[in-house]
Amino acid sequence: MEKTIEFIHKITKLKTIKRQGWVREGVPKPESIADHVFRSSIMVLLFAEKFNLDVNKLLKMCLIHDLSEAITGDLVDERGNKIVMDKIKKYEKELTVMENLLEGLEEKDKILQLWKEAESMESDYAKALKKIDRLEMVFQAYEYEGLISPKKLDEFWINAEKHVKESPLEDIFQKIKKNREKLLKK
Amino acid sequence: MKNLLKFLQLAMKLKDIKRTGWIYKNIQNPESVADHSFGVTLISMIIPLPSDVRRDKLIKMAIVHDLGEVKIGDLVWETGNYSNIKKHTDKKEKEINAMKELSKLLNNDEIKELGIEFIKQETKTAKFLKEIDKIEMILQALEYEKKVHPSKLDEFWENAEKYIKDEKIKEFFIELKKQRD
Repeated sequence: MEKTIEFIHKITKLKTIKRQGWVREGVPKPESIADHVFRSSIMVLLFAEKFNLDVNKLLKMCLIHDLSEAITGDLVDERGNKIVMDKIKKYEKELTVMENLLEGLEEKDKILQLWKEAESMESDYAKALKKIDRLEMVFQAYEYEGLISPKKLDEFWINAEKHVKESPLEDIFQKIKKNREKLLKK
Repeated sequence: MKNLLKFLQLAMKLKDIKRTGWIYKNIQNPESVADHSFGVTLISMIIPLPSDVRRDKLIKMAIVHDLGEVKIGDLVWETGNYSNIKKHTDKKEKEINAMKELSKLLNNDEIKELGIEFIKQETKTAKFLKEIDKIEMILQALEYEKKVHPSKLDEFWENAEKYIKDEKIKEFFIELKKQRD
């Protein structure tokens, strides 16, 4: 029981850690990591079917995929089309953090396995999750573009497009992109 | 497609709605409803379960349990042990309507049904989730008590205690209380 409480105390940090991309671009009062994961989860509920995947598994993967950031903070590994962090180093660092974080929990092995699957980007689940994660990001970018100079957020759109291209989410991405273009013309 | 976008943009509002209870207590930069829902969902993922609650269903219900608030805000109808029954009945009705309205935007009855099941508080899963909801609130209260004078948040502890019946969750609550003392 103590371990469970300790774990939850630690992950509560995700409510206060702000998403770095928005902080960097000067968005006032940007969302927390928990905010982002929460809405990604709603998208999983809606979109798992489009990928023909088991919604329960994809949901769990979504909920835990950013857990290590409670300790490391929000690590940015891609900007636009560029990789900006050594992915292997990032993985190793996060793996150690995850192992410590989950120590003593009944669900440790299951969660760790799911996290590894998400990180390896080989399974259909991991690939679908990445696309949903990025779609959530542009929905948020769209909201923030009303608050700061829209051009500043171009790279988020470029990055998301790279991930959702030719996927079941492409039509919804194109729709919100069109809405954005209307917004930019105003 | 248009409705789907509308739904997602509405659901996004949960990131901006701050939890009313903390605002009343003048907590600086309090958490959003989305932050809270995330906490509730993660606890649902790891907490030991009573034999008649299924985890998959619990997790889904946790995600949608406060969705109605994008329409009506975070309404408070009880403080500590004091409850305003009329306010509660009104709130339930408003929440159920909000869930129905929201799900009209989607072709997804599951979200509506889970949301309404939680609001009605009649099933095992719904009641167990309510206890998790309260435990999450207490964990957050404990965090805030490091910043404000703890006696200010007594009522949240009193309120949670009223709901907690499950043995495992009770253990949890007692452990938290110890930490608080």
